[in-house]
Amino acid sequence: MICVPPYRFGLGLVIPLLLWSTFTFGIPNAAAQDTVPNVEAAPMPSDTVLAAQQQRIEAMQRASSATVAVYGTDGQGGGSGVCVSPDGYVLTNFHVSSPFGHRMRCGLNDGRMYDAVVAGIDPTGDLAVLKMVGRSDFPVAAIGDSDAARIGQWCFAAGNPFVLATNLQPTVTYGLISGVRRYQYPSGTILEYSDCIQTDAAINPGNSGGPLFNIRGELIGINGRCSFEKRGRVNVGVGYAISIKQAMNFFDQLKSGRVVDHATLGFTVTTENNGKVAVSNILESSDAYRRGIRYGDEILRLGDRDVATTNQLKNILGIFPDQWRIPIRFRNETGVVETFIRLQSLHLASELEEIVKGESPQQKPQRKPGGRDPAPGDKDKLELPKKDKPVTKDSVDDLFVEKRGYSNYYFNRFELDRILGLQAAHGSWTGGSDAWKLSGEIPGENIAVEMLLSDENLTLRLGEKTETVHPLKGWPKWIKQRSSIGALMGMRVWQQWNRIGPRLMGEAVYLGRNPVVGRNTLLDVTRITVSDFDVMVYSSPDSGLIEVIEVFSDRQTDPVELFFEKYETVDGRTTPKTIRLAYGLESQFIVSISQMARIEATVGTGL
Amino acid sequence: MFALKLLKTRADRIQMIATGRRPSGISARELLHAVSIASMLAFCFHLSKLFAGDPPLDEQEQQAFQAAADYSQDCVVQVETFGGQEIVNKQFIASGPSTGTVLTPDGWIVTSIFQFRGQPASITVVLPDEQRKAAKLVARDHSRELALLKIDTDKPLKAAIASDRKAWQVGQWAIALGKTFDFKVASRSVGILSAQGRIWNKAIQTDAKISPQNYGGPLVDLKGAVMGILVPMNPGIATEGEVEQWYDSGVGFAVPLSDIIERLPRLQRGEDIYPGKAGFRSQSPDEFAPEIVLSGVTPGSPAAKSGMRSGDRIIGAGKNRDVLKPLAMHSELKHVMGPIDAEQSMVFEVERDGTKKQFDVNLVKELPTYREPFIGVVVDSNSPPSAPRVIAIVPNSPAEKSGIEVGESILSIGEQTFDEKSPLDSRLAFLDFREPISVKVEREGKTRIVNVSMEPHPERDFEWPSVKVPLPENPPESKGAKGTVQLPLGDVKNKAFAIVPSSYIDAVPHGLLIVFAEAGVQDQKQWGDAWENFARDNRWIVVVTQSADDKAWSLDEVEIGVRLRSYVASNYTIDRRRVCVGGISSGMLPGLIMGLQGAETIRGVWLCNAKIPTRARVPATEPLKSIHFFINGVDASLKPFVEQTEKIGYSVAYHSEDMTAAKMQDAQVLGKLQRWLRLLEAY
Amino acid sequence: MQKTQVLGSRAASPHGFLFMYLCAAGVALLHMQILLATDVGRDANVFINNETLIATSQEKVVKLYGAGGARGLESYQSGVIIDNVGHIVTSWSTVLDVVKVRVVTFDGRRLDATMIGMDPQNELALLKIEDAGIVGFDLSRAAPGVTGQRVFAISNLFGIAAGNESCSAQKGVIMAATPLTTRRGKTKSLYQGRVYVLDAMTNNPGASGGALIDLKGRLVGILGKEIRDEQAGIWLNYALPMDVVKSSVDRILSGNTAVQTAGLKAVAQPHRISELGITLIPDVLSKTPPFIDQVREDSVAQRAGLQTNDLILLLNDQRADSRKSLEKMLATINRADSFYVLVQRGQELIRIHVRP
Repeated sequence: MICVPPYRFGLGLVIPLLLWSTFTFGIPNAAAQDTVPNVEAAPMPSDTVLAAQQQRIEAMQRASSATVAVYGTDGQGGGSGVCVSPDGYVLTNFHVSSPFGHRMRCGLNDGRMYDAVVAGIDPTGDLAVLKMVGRSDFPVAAIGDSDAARIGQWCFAAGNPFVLATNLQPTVTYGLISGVRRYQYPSGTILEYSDCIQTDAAINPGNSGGPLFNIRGELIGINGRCSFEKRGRVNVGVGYAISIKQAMNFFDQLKSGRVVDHATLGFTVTTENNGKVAVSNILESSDAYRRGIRYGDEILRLGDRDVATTNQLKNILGIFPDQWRIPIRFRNETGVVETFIRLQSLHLASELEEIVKGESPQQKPQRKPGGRDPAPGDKDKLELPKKDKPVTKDSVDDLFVEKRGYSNYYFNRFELDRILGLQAAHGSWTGGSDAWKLSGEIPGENIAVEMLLSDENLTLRLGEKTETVHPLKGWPKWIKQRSSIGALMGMRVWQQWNRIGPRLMGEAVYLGRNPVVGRNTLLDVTRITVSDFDVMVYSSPDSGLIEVIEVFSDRQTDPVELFFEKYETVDGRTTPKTIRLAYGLESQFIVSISQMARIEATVGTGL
Repeated sequence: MFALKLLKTRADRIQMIATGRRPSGISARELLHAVSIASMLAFCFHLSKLFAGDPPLDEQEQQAFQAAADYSQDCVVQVETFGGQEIVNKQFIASGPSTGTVLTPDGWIVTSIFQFRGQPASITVVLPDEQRKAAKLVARDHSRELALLKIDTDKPLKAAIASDRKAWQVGQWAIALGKTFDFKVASRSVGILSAQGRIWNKAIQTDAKISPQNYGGPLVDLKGAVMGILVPMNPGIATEGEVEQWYDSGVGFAVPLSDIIERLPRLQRGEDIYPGKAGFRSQSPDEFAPEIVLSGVTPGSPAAKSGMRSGDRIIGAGKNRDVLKPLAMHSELKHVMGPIDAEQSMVFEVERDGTKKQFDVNLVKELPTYREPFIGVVVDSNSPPSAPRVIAIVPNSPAEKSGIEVGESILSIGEQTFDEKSPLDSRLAFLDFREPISVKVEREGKTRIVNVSMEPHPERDFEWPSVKVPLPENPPESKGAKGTVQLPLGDVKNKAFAIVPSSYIDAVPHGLLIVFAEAGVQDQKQWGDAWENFARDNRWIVVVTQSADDKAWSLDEVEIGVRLRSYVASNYTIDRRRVCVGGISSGMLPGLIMGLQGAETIRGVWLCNAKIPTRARVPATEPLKSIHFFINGVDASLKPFVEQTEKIGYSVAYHSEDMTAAKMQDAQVLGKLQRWLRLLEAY
Repeated sequence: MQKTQVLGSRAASPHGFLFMYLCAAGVALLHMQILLATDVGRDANVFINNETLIATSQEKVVKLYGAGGARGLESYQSGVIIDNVGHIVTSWSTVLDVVKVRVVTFDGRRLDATMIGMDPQNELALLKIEDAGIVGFDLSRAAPGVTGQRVFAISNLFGIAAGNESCSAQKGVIMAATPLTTRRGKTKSLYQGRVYVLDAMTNNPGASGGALIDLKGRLVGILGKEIRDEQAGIWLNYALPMDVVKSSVDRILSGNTAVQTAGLKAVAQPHRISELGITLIPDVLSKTPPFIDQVREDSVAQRAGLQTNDLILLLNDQRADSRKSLEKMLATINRADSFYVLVQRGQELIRIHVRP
C-alpha cells in the first residue's frame, strides 16, 4: 500500500514512487510470509501463485463453515450437506437422509453436533431439506450461478467422504468442471440427475449431499452421484452434482415438508433423423395440448433454453417442480408459437408414497460406507440390532408432525402460518357481515359491474346481464364454459380466505413458490381442495397479499385465473382495486373496483 | 490479475487525488499530469505483461510445482524388496519398487510398512545417484503404518526439510513425490491439503493421487518442504487390504514429518511403536454422544491402576497437565488419544460425584486378558439388590472355601456396595480375579468380613444339585402360555417354538436359551423330552428355531434370533444373566454372530457339531462382555478356535462329542451342557 | 527512473498531453478487456483461459462407436482428429472390429469412418472421415511431455457425452515419463515402450483414444487403455507420447506395420545354474529368494567370486526376486556370453562379472 504524496512535492516525486510500486506487487498475504526457518535455497513461488493460493484457501474456509456432516441419531451412517439459510435449512440428498428416518444430526466445522429433522424430500431429484436447531446464525454458503459453470473452470467439493470427518472438519477436494448439462438416467423411478455438473474433484461415498463450489467459493451444486465401475465404490474421476439452479427451484417446495414431485410436459418427443426434436405423443388432457401443441410439432425452446436434443429437453424439464408454468417455443405448420405450459406431476401421490416407503429405514439397514456384509470376527461391522430406545423429548421432536403424503407436516403448517402472519398486517376481515357488495366498472367501456357475495349465492351484474351461482356448488360447469362468473368465484375465494381463513375452506396445503405469468418473482402457493374443485392461491412472499387465485374444475380444463393487480388501503384494510379475469392465457375482462362494502348479515353455510 | 487490480486501484486513486484537489484550485494542466501518469503506468505495466512475458497463472503454478519437486526430490529414494510372499491375506503384494524418504544425512530412511508384509528376504535402497545400498529394517510404527530403514553411506545424503506445520491451511498446494519410476526424477502428483487431524489426529489428508506408486514418499509444499510421509491408512472402517483399495481415490493420507522426527530416537533404538490403550469403556457406542461416561474399566489396565472407575465422566485429556484439552464428545477424546503411543503417558481429567480428578495413565500396547471372576454363590433374585441373599453355594468354589453360608446376604465386595444401577454382577465384573477381596456378609443384623480368593468362571464339568428358589406367597397369575408354545414370526419362512415349564410364574425370573437348530424341520417332541425336566428344575425357557431354507442357515437370519428374544422377554420374566444362544451345525454361524453382536446382553453361547470358519476372530474379552462358550463337536477346526478363544480370556467348556437332535436325550454331552447352563446362574 | 524523466519532460509540452490522452484512452480500453476476460474466465488468468483452451480442443475429439457390448467389453471409445482431412487416431481395440466405425463429432454429426490401418505394436489405429470440415490438431505443433507438467485429458469416458454434448475434461499432471515395462509390477499390454503416467483418472471405459493436451492446447499424447498392474493390483492412467503416435501414424500411412516382437527371447544354448557350478537353496516357496547354497570347486561361479549364502538380486540389472525368475533370465543369455550379477553378502552389495 503506497501513501498518496501531498501535491506540493510535485510530480517529479510522485512518479518514481508510483512506478516503483507498480512493478513490485507488494501484496501482503499469509502464504507469502510463512517461511520455513532452515530453508535457504528453497524455491520461492511467484506472488501471483501465492495470491491465487491464498484466495482459494480463503474461499475454502468460507465454504467449509457451511458444509455439514450428516449422521444418524446414533452417530452411525454418514453423508454430507450444506447449510443455505441462517436459520439452519440444509440441502442434502434424499438418499442420504432416507436411511435415517426423520431425525438426524449435523456436524459443523465449529466442532459441534446439531440435532436436525427432515423437512421436505424429493425422491425423484434426490434432494432433501433438513432443518438444524440450536442456532439462529448458522453459517451459510453463498449461492452461485450454476448456469455460468463452464467446462474447464476450477471448482472444489467439500464433504464427509468415507465418514472421515470424525473431527467434523470437512474434506475439501479440488478439480475441474468436466462437463455441464449432463443427463444421468434414474435408477428405477427415482434419483434422476438431469442438467447436472460433472467434476473430477474427488467425490467419494459420503460426499453425497455435500456442496460443489466454484473457485470463488459460491455454491453451484449438490454432489450426489459418481460413475463407478471396476474399482467398486471409489472415485475414478467422475462425480456428478445436482445444479444449484435446480436445488433452489425446489428449495421452497422442500421447505413445505412435502414429498415433492417432478414434472412431465404431457407429451413425449423423439429426435428425428433431420435432428429436430418433435412431439411424438401428446395427452389431449394436458395443458400443453390446450396451449396448441400437437403431434409432430418441433420443440425449439423450453424454460428460456434452446432445445436441440432429447437430452436437452429432459435436462430442462428436470430442474422444474410440478405445477410450475414455464415458457415454451415450438413450431407447427403455421409457424413459431411462444406460450406457457403448466407442468403436470410425474407420479401419482400413491406412487410417491410407495417410493418413500421403499426407502425408509426399516427396509434399509444403515451401514457405514466402506462396510461389508457381516462375517464372524469383524464385530465392528455388525450393527447391533436396532433397539427401539425411547426418543428423548427435545426441540427437534417439536419440529416433527407425521402425516400421510408429507415427509414432515410440521413445516407445511409452519409455512402457511407464515403467510397468514404476513397478511395480518393488512387489516382483518374476520367477523362482521358475511355479505359483501363490490361495485365498479370495466374501464374504458363504462360498463357497470356489481358483485354480491353472500352465503346464499354469488351474483354478478355485468351491464344489463345478471348471473347467479351457488357459493359452493356447480362451479365446474361454469369454469368449463369460461364464464365471466369465474370472477365471482375468485372473489369468493378471496373473501373466504380473509374471513374464515384457508384452513376452514377445505384441505389447505402450502406447496412452495411458483412462477406466475407476467411476474418475475416467485409467489407463495397454497392449494385448497374444496368439494368438487380446488383452488391455488398465489401470495407475495414479502407482503403476503394475494396476487392470483386459480380455480380448477379438473386438470383437463383451464382454470379460472383471477389476478389482483391493484390494492389500496381503505379504512385500515388493504382492499383489491383492480382485478383481471383470465382463462388459459386469455384475459376476459378487467374490473376496477370503486367500492367494496359489507351489507346486512345473512346466515348460511359458505365455502 | 492481482497486480492488475492493484494497478486499477492505483489509477483510480490518482484520479481521486486529481479530482479531489480540483476545488482547491488545480489547473486543468495539473489534472492532466495526474491522469496521464495513470495511463502511462498502466500502459507500461501492460506492456511488461505482454512482452516481459509474465505467463498465465496455470503456467506460473506449473513452474512452482516443478521448482518445489525438483528442490526436494533428492531426499526421495527407491526402496526395493526381494523375495518374500506374494500374497498376504488374499491380497497381492507388489513386488516392484516402492518409495522412501531420507530423514538424516547418515542414512536413516522412513518408508511405508505396506511393502514389508511379505517378509522380504532382502531390502535395498537406490539413491538418486543410482547407488544401490542394502538396507536394514530397524523398527516399525504400527500406529502410523511406517517403517524405519538404515543404510550405510560414506557421503552424507540429502535429508528431508520439515515444512512449518503451524502455517498449514486446508486448500494449499500439496505435491506427492514417488521414486518407483525413476531413481533421479521423482514422480509428481499435484493436489491440495484436504483436511488436517485425520485418522484420530495421526494424519493429514490430500487429494493428490496416492498409491503404491508413492507410498513412503513425501508430501511437499510449494517450497519443497516436507509436510508428511504418504501411507495407506484408514480410520478403522476398512480392514487391511481394503485400505489400499482407496488408492488414487482423491483421499490420501500422510503422517506429519514432525510426528515422525519426534519418534525417531525410539525407532532408531529398534523399538516398534504401537497405538496406546488405556483400558476403559465409554457407556455409549455413539462417538458423538454429548458426554463420555465410563461404563467400565478393565481390571489390571492402566486406567484401572491409575484409579479411574466406571461412572467417571471424562471432561479433559492431554499428553500432560499443561495441554489438557476440554472434551465433550467421545470422538474428541479419540482425537487426543490417537497420536499417543503405547509406553507414553497421558492425563485424563474426570468428574466423579461432583468433584474433578486428574489421573496420569501410562498407555500400553496390550491390555491384560480379562477373565470373569467367580465366587460360587447363587442369590435369591427377589432379595433386595443392595443385599442379595445367598441361596446356594457351588461345591469347591471360592465361596465354599472361604466359608460363606447359605442364608447370608452380601453387602459389599472389595469395599463396593450395590444398588439398582450397579448390582452385584456389575461390581464383580470389574474386579481382577487374581486379587483376593474382602466380602462383607450379613445375617440377622450381624455382619462379618470374609476374605475370598476368586477364580475365573469354571470350565470343568461337575455334578451339583439343582437350586431350590424360595417362591413368594400366592404369586399373581402369569399370562404367558406354558408347555410347548409356537412363537409368531410373521413374514419370514422360519418356524420357532418355546419349551416353557409348567411351573413357570412371572414372579421368578427364568433363563432363556435360543437355539438355531440344525437346518431342516425340528421334531418338537424330541426337544421336549430332552429339555422339559431341565427347564422345570432350573427355571429355563428353551426356544428352538428352524432355518428358512431346509438346507442351511443364512447370515441375515441372525435377526430371527433377535426377534424371538425380544418376543419372549416381553411375555415372560427373563433372568438377564442367563440369556444364551445355541447353534447346531449350520446354525452355528447365526448363533455365534448373535452372541458376539449382543455380547453385553448374552451370557452364554453353545456351539454344537460346529465347524468354525478359519477367519472367525473373536474380540478380546471385556467386563460384562465376556461370553461363556460351551462347544461340542469333533471337527478339527474346533480345537484351534477353543485355544484361541481361551487365550484371549473366555471361559470355554469343550467336549469332543457330536450330538444330533434325534439322539439328544441319550447323548452324554447333553448333561454336561445343562450343568454348564445351570452354572451361569452362580456369581 | 528513465521513464520518469521522459514523462517529466513530456509533461511540459502540449503534444505530450495529446499523447497521454491517447494512452489514457488505450489503457481504459485495456482495463475493460482485461476485466471482461477475467470475469468469465478464472481470476488470475488474463490472456488464455482453460474454458476456451479446452472448448477448442474438444472440437478435435470425437466419440467412436463400434463392436462390443458383450462380455463387459465397451462398444465405444474416443478418437482424436490429427489433421484437416479427417484422419482420426485412436486406440486399437475390439471396438474397431466392425465394418464401419460410427464417428460422432463435437457438433453431433454422425459419420462413418473407414479404417486406414492399425499398428498393433503401439496399439494404435488410424481412421478417416470424409469432408467433416473439422480442423484437427496440428501434429507438427505436438509437444513432448515432461514429468510434472500440467495437462488436460479430453475424452468420452463412460460414454457420458452423447450427440453434440461435449466430451469430458479432466485435469492432471504427468506423474512420470517411463517405459511401461519398468512400472512396478507386471503390466498387461502389448505395447512396452515409453508412456506418460498421469495423475488424471483416465483409466475408464471410453477414455482410451482421447486427447492429452498441455496448457497451450497442444497435443501431448493419446490416452491409453484400461491397463492394470497385475501384481500391484492398481489401475494405471497413462498416455502414449506424440513421437510414438506420429511414427505410428507414418508407419500406418506407409503401410508398414509389422509387429516387432518386443522383449527377450530364449536362446538355443543358454547358461544353466548347475553348469555355472552353483546350487541354490531348494525352490519351496512361491518366490524362493535365489540364495546360493553351494559353490563347486573351480567352477565358473567360484572363479567369478560367488560364495555360499550370497543372495542374487540382479542379473544384468534385471530383478531376480525369485529362483524361478533367475532361471528364466539365465535362459536368455547365450552360454558363451558373460554377464553381471548383483549379490547381497551380509549388508554388502557386490557386483560380480561372471565369465564362462
